[in-house]
Amino acid sequence: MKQIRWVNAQLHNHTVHSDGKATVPEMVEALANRGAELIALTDHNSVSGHPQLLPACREKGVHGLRGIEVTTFYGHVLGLGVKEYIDWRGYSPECPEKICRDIRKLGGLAGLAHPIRIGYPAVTGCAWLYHISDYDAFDYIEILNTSDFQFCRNDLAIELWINRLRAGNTHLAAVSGLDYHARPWHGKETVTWLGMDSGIADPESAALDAIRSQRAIVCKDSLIRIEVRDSYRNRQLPGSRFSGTAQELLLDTAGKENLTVVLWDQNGSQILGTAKPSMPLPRIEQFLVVALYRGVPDVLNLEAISNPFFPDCTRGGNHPVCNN
Amino acid sequence: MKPLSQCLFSAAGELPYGQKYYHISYTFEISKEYKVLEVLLEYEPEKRTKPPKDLEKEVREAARTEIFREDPQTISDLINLCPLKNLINLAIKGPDGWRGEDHKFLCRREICLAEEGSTPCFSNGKNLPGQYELVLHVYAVFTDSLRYRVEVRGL
Ligand SMILES: [Zn+2]
Ligand SMILES: [Zn+2]
Repeated sequence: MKQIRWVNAQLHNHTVHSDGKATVPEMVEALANRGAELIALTDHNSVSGHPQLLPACREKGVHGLRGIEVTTFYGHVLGLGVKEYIDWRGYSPECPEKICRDIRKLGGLAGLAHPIRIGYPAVTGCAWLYHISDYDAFDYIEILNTSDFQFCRNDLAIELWINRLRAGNTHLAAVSGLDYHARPWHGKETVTWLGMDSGIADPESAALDAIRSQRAIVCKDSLIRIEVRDSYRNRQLPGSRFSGTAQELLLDTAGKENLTVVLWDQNGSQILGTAKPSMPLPRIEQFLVVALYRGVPDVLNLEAISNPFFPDCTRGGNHPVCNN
Repeated sequence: MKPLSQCLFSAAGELPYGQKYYHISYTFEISKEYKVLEVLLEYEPEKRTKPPKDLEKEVREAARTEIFREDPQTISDLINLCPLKNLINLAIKGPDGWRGEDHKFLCRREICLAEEGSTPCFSNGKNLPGQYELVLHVYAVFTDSLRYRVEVRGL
């Protein structure tokens, strides 16, 4: 049985190895100081900071995750786990899937970065102008990019992700990214909590496994635990595919009160009520995504959003337990 | 005294206003191993100070189609992102593969490639003899024109 440990992860960060202002050790220090336990380095078309990442992380007692942000003219694709430069000249607006294939060939996970953001002439290259024919080419979507709230529609990015789950791209994980460039904090930053398998010794592999397995909860800051109790009385984590029905929502809001719970499934969404440690669930179709908001369900009030649970799943039987 | 470096390659060009999404590639041979290669990219002007006349129209269109916003506040905030800086990345490939790429908004880049202490964005390594390639990734030219120059020197 898997032992899962929840880890505070920051998965999208820049340094002087592209247009960030911090050196690699400065970036690691800044993020570790605000609680990050796993820090990715994803410079624009650059891996030259990688040799410094793991030593800087060791120094601060945190884990590093090497990656890249493939920064093309028509949009950005994150390649977590990629340790090589990628020549991006051959990518055409009709086939972003090729970027994902190249990332996967290099052992990485392909993430659609800030999918709904403005580009030229305001921030050239940052808008997503590619036509995606096959969302299965991607491993995850950055549903929250907190670098520039005004010109990056996180509300629509969440909607895009839910719609892709409904369209059958059920493997797509959801994560957040600071898109750290060493600008001042604005208070709306978020954390991706990854449920890392303690049985995987290498932290980079464990982080990639957690994303691939959709074992992740995006939170405003401290971890809000979101679990489901199934009809066999098993506790299920986000990403779980299990054979029973989803009976009960189990929430640990880390002391936060008056949170509104919203559910999405294949057919629609509904407000379940004010968060309680245990809440009976209605009938769920295909998948369940759970979000908690401070008051009105608006992306700016988001406290936590889970990756999907998959009840009534014939491939079930995987019941990770939590040890922290 | 600094040893005299040798010019191994140079090129120059001019790009018009509105040039975007465009790659320029230069390949050249380096006949022997140099301890240090210095690669210079400079261009001018760095940025536009007065907004071009069609900027508002372009911003409005981008806001409408890319972030689905048309409210006057968003449009004016976006226009206030001016002055608009030109953006060109420089990527360098050596005989044994890519050395890196710099995604920066600076009009002068002095890049040093060496076994140790290479400029950030570029990896350390021997500068082997063989074919090199410089790629200018032109994201956007906002100025009326942009004159650039690249030069490679060996030490
Ligand atoms: Zn980006
Ligand atoms: Zn970024």
